[in-house]
Amino acid sequence: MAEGDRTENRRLDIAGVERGSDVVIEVNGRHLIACEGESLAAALMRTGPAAMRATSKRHEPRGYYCGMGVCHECLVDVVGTGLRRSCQLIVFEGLRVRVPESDR
Amino acid sequence: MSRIETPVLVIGAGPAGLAAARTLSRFGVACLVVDDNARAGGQYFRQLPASFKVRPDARLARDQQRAEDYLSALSDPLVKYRPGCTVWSMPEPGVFAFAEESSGGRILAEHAIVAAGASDAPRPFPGWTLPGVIAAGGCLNLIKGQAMVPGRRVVVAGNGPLTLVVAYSLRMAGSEVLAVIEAGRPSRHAWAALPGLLRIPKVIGLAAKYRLALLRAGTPFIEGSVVTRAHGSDRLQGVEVSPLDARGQPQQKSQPFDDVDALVIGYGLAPSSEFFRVIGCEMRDDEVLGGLVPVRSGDLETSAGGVYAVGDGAGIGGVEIALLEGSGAAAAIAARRGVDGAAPERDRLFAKLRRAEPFRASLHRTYRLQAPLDLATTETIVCRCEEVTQQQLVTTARSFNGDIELVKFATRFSMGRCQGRNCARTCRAIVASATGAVVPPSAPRMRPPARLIPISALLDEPLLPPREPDQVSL
Repeated sequence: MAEGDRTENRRLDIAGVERGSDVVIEVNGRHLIACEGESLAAALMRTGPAAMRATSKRHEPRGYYCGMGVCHECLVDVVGTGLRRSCQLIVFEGLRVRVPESDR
Repeated sequence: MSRIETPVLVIGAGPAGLAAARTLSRFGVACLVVDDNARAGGQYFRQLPASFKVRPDARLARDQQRAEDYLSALSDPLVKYRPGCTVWSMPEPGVFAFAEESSGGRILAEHAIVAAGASDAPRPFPGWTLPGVIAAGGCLNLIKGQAMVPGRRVVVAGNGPLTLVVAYSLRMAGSEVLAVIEAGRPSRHAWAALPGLLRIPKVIGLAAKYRLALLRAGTPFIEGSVVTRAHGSDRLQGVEVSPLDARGQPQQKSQPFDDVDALVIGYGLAPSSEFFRVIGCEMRDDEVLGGLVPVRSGDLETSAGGVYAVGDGAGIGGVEIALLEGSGAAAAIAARRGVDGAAPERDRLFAKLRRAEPFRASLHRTYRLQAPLDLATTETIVCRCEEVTQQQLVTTARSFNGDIELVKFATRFSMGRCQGRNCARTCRAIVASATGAVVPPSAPRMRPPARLIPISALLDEPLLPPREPDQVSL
């Protein structure tokens, strides 16, 4: 897989910075190539602004907002662990998460 | 439960905390620096992951030489550093409760310097909860900490100097900044505020450089306008921008921006002063300083003796003031501990701080708004965690005659995961304006833990009879 994925999620990268080596994570059962050292939020957002959770009352999509661990909007369901702030969680090989499916 | 002893505890490894550690070590005073982030630097000196390589041509706007200089303080033999460590209360004077990933304990310190930093002050408006709408600090963290931008086509909106910094950083990083929407009129008001702004001369130079770069890039910098609405189904698609009228409120007519990947909103910063509230410090509300801040002595000591407050967490002032305050409080502590040469250094730093002080009020004047800006409609979510709308707050406030604690119990605002760090200030303002009630600045009450910690860190905690923070006498 993945040559294509890798190119696709480079469009938000900043030129002149070489990212860490590949780390394969699993998002809703599909592989996503993340980079060593980056946050889960960054890995998810490098494919575009993403819904990371749905709210409990209105089931509205929410995503990365404060980026510093305050707002808890970027909570992601980590399989086997529970909800974690994706802006504070560093990706690791085999990390499995579930996020709301998008229509796009 | 582990117990750690240190002469001085420094809470926070951002600019103010790092400056404090550096000055303490220069005076031969040992300290322990704790920080709840995985990496030191705070928001301003935020570092990329160690696995990333930065080439000389990297399109990053950052203050890296100074960052490395201040971060090197953590390698000093007199400085101990614990990342991923949250101090969440002070159960008795000089005793600080901390939590880590799965354990906790106590730090015993004769003096503490709290440099807790700040976060974005929210300003609810329709659509602000959509994925793709992010806070200014969150955008800078993506750039500085993850080497990515939140979108290719970005609109930056808000009020205050941070929007300019964000727009410049985004442009530098390769995003197309469609427009900067500034609610205030800094170009008009900066002239009268210039003498005060020049107390920190480099700021004016940077602002001019950033404005010029945006001008060259063809990015419109629209003053006196606001984003009134963000729309999209499951993610941001576009925004609407309206000019403010003579009364300082948004006009009906609006200009659309379409195909927007990201909207970055920055309506200023709010000090993260929750630790001071939790330990029962005397607080005051100060508009220039960004909200609720601890009352401090000339030495930057709070009403909790031995606990000093520095940097943006004690009142918004920006990095230059944070560095001076961190060093100043450290020199004051060294002087109190009888270290030779510390008293003159303390006096020199505080004299410098006094000279810089007019900067804050002048910056505030530069970006002042004609009238308080209320962009929320009745259906706008104000408390994001508990999904409480403006209408719910207004209705509940009226039925409880503006009693903020009862409004909190009834709506659950500020009782969610962020514990009100995002919404409490806005909710307080809504309750006050809906009922005319006088809401005390530190209401609703805040209890330990000051920040979210894992429950496993509390397993060894003794069960104490409940005491409210404002009933604790220090």
